[in-house]
Amino acid sequence: MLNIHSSQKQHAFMPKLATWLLSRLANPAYRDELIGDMEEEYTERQEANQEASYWLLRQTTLAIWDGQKAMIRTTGFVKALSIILCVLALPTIALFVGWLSNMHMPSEHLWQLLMAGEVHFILFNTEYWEIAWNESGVSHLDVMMFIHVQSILWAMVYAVSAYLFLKKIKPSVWIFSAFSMAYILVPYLFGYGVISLFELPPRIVGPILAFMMLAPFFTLPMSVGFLFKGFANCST
Amino acid sequence: MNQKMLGEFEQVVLLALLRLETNAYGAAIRQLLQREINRDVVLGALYSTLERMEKKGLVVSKLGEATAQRGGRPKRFFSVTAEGKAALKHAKQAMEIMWQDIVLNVGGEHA
Repeated sequence: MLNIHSSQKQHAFMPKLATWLLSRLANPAYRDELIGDMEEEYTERQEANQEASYWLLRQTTLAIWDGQKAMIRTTGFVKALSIILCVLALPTIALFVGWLSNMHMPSEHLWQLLMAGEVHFILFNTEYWEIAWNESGVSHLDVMMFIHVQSILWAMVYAVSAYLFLKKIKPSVWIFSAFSMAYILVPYLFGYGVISLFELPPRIVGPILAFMMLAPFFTLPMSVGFLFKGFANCST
Repeated sequence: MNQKMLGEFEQVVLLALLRLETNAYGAAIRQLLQREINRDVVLGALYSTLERMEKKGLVVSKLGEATAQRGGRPKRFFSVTAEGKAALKHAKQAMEIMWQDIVLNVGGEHA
């Protein structure tokens, strides 16, 4: 190790920005010790006239990268992500169902997108948002619009398989999230595939669209429930 | 016995802990690896490896006292457990067996 005589030399502290960033973004499991080690070695390097700034930049950047990788793997992060997904997706689906149920003479473009099952494009269409928000918005929503037997059955199948998956396999939080995400996405992808492959009349496209949107609508909050219940004691 | 397999970096870190004895903490381990095998290790990666090995029961750690030189932050001292030593011994034996009767000709020199 490098020898230092701190009593004889000016003590060169690590830049405050590096300490501030590390104290917030490095892995909390060993954050304090890591900053202490960096502080110690940075001081020693400065006092021994060794290159210190680049060394500190590299160490700080990679420690933050390492900390963020560890953070992403935590259960708390997955739970937060699932809540954000719920908050974004559920009102969006509810609004879409309201628009679909109250739809009167949509534009040719929106109608074509609808008949092609391309809901993902509709959701990025400004015309749709204007109509959905102003004309057939939240005030026009009705509980009956959300009663769809196939979607409810799908959510029940998910509930049973998620329960068994958690009980028998005991998966990691990321594996369980991938499992849930598959149940959420499959109805949409299945419906989109069917509509794309066959030229179906509107009376058949309607129920498929309902399944594409309502199955995830019921499955998503259930998956969050299972995530919080199944990983209740895991925060890291 | 179900012997834990060690990665190359894990072996190097365990050996560094044994060399440093009671003074095995982050900065000291990093500097030893730099000095002895010219390996410029990142402290974050080193702690990540040590944390993983602690979870596997190969090392244990304890916090030292905070010092002014370290901005009032403590050192975390690591030591190798009996399980860690056994894993290291097993890794050494495995390498010795694999190296038997091997002659490498690198750049005209025999190794």
